Amino acid sequence: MTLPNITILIADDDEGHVILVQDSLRSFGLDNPMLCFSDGQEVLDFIHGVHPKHRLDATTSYLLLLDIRMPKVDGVEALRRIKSDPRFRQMPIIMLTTTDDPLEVNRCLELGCGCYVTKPVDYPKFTAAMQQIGLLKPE
Amino acid sequence: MKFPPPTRFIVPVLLSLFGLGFLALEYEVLLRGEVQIAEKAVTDLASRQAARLAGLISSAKKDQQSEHLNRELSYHDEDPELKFAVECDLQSQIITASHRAWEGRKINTTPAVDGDIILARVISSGTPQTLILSHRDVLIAAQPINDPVNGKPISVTIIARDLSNPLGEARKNALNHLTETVIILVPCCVLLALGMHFFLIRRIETAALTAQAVLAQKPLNEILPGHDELAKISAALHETDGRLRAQSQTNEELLERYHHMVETLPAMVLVSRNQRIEFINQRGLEILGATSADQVLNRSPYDFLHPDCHADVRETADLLRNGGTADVPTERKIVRLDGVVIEMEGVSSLYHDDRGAAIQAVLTDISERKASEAKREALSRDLQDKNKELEAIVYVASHDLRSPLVNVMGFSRQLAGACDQLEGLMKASPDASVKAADLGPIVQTTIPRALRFIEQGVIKMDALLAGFLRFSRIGGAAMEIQRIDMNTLMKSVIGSLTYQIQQTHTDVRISALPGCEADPIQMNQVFTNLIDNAIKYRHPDRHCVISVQGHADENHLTYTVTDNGIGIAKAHADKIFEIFHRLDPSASTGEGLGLTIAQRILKRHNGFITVESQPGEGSTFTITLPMPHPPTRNAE
Repeated sequence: MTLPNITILIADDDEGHVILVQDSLRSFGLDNPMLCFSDGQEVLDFIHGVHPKHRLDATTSYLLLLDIRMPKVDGVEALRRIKSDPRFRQMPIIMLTTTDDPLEVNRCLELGCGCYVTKPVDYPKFTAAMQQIGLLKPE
Repeated sequence: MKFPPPTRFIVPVLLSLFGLGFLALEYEVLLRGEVQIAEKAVTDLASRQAARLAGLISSAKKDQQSEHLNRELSYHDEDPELKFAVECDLQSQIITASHRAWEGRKINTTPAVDGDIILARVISSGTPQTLILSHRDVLIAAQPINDPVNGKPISVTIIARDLSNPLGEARKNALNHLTETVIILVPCCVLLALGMHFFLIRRIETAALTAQAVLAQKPLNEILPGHDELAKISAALHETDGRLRAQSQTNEELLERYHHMVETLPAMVLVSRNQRIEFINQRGLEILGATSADQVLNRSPYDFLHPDCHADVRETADLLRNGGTADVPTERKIVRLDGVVIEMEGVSSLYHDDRGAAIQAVLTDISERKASEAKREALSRDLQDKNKELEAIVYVASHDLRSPLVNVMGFSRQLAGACDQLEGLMKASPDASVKAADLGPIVQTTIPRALRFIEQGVIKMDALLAGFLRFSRIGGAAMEIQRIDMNTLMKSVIGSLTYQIQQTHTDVRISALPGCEADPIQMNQVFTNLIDNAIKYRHPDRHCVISVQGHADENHLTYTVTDNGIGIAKAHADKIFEIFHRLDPSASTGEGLGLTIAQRILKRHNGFITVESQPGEGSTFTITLPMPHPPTRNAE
C-alpha cells in the first residue's frame, strides 16, 4: 500500500494507541510522514497554522486519523470545526473509535464523515476505510 | 264528588218543567175535547130549536108567527142560554124577532149582525147551518122554511145561543180530568225522581267520589253493586286504584333505592342548572368540607372549581348543550370550602326534565391516586436518571475500559512479535551466540515499551473499576438525613484538605453559611470534591483564592464555591459532570469522578449543582437544596 505525497495526521490522547496505529500503518507498507497530536485542539492549532511544533505545508496533502474521545476538544468537535472550514472540508478523515457506538458513529455521519475504523487498526479494516474515502482503488 | 247545586237540581227542575209542559198540553187536549163536546151539544140543541121553530112557523098561519115565536121565547125564558130567535125573509129582513124592536129591520142592523152570514149560507145551500162565533161565545143555528108547494125556502129561522156556560162547563171538566192526571202523575214523577236519585245520581256521585279518591290516592268507597255501566266504571276505578297504588309503591321503592344509591355512592354527585348547584349528595358535601347543603346549594359550580379548570369546564358544558358527550373521565381541580384544592376526576352529562336542561356530574376524589402518580413519576424520573447514569457507565465501560484494553492487546501482540524475533535470532545462530547489537532494540526498546503500556493499561483498568465501585456505592449507601451546621461541616472539609491547601498556598474564605438538612458524610464529600477540584484546576499564574458562600430564600438553600482558576469553556460546562470526564488528564491527577459524585449526591437530596465559568477567570459552582420543612424528615 502506498500513498504518495500524503502526510498522515494522527490525533489520539492515548500514547499507546498512537504507537500501535503508527506500527500498524508501517506494517501495511506506508512509509509516509506521520504527525501525532494528543487532542483535538492540537489538530485545530496545526491546521490553523498555530501549532508550536508542526507547520502546515500548503503543497502537501493530509490524511487525518481522528480519535473520538479526547480531552479539551474531542474528535467530534474537531471534525465539526474542520468540516465547517471551507479550506479543509475536502480533507480525507478517518475516525478512530474504541467502540462502534452507533450514537457517535451517527454524529460523525451527520457532520459529514461516514468513515470510521474501530481500534485496534488492522489491515482489512484500514484498507476498506481507505477505499471508502477514495484514497485506494477497490481491488 | 257531590254535584254542585245547579247540576244537582237541573234534573228535577227539567223533570218539573217537562211535567208542567206535559200538564199544559194535556189540559189543552182535554179542553179541546170538552169544548168540542159542548159545542156539539149546543149545536145540536140550537139546530133542533131552529128546526122546531121553523116547523112551528111553517105550519102556522102568518099571524100566528109571533105567537110561535113568543112560545119559543118563553121557552127562552126557561132556557136562559137562548139569546135571541128571529125569522128573516130571503132579503134578510127580520119578519119576527124575539126582540120586538128588531122586527122589520135588516138583520145586519141588529146586534145579531152575524145573522146575515149564516142567512146567506142557508139561502145558497138550502140546508140548515150552524156557526160558532167564538169571539162572542155565541152559537148561531139557522133552518130554512120551505114553500110547501115548490119546496123552495121562503124564510129562515135563526137561533143564537150563549156558549159561555157550556164552555165554562167544558173548562171545568177538562180541569177535573187534569186533576185526575196530576193525582196519578205526581206520585209517578216523585217515584221517578227518587228512583233517579237513588239509582242514578247517587251512584254517579259515588263513582265520581271514587274517581276523585283515585286521583287523590285516598281510601276508596265501596264498589257499586250491580252489572250496569256505573258498576263497571266503579269496578274499573277500584282496579285502577289498586294498580296505581302498586305502581306508586314500586315508584317509592325505586325512589328510595336511587336515593340510597346516590347518597352512599363514594363519589360526588352534583346537578347544576343555569350555573346554580341544584343538588349535591352527602359524599359531595363531605368532599367540599360542607356541614350543611345550604353552604353549597344555589351557588355557582365555578365557585368550587379551580380557575385553571374554568375554561375547560365551560367548553365541556357548551359541548353537552350542543349534543356532545363528556363520558371520558376528566381531571378537575376542586376548591373546598376551606380553600384546599383537591384533585378529582369525573364525567358529566346533560338531561332534560320539566324545568329544562340540567348538567349532572359524578366526580371521584383522586388525590391519593395523584399522590401515588406523583410518587411514581418521581420514581420514574429517578429511574430514568439512574438509567442515564447506567448508560453513561456502560458507555464509559465500553470506551474507557476498552481503551487500555486496546493497548494491552496491541502491546501483547508486539511482545509476542518480539519473542518471535528473539526466537528467530536464536535459531539463526546455531551456536547460541546472539549478537548484542541484534538483541538491543528488542530487549531494550520493544519489550520494555510493550510491558510499560501493558502495565499502564492494566493499572488504568484497575483505577476505572475502583471508580465504578466508588460511584456505585454512593447510589446504594443509606442516607442519614439530619440537620447540619454547614459552618462546622466546612471546617471539617478544610481540615481534611489542609495538606493541599498549604502546599498550594490557597486562600479559602468561608462566609457564615445557613444550615441544611442532608446526609453529613455525603455533603462533606460534595464540598471536599469541589474545593479539591478548585485547587487542582487553579490558575498557574496567580494565587489560588476559593470563597464559599451560602444563602437561604423561601424555598431553597444555595451554596456557592467560587474559584479564580483556569475556568471551563462553555462547550465543556455540561460534560464536566459526566462520569470519568477529565478536562486535561495530563495536567492533573484523578479519575474524573468528583463532580459526577457531587451531582449524584445532590440529586439524591432533591437538589442540583450547576456551574458558571469564564475560561481563564474562574468558576462558580452553585449547589441548590430544597428548604427543609419544619417537621424534619428522618430518613429516605
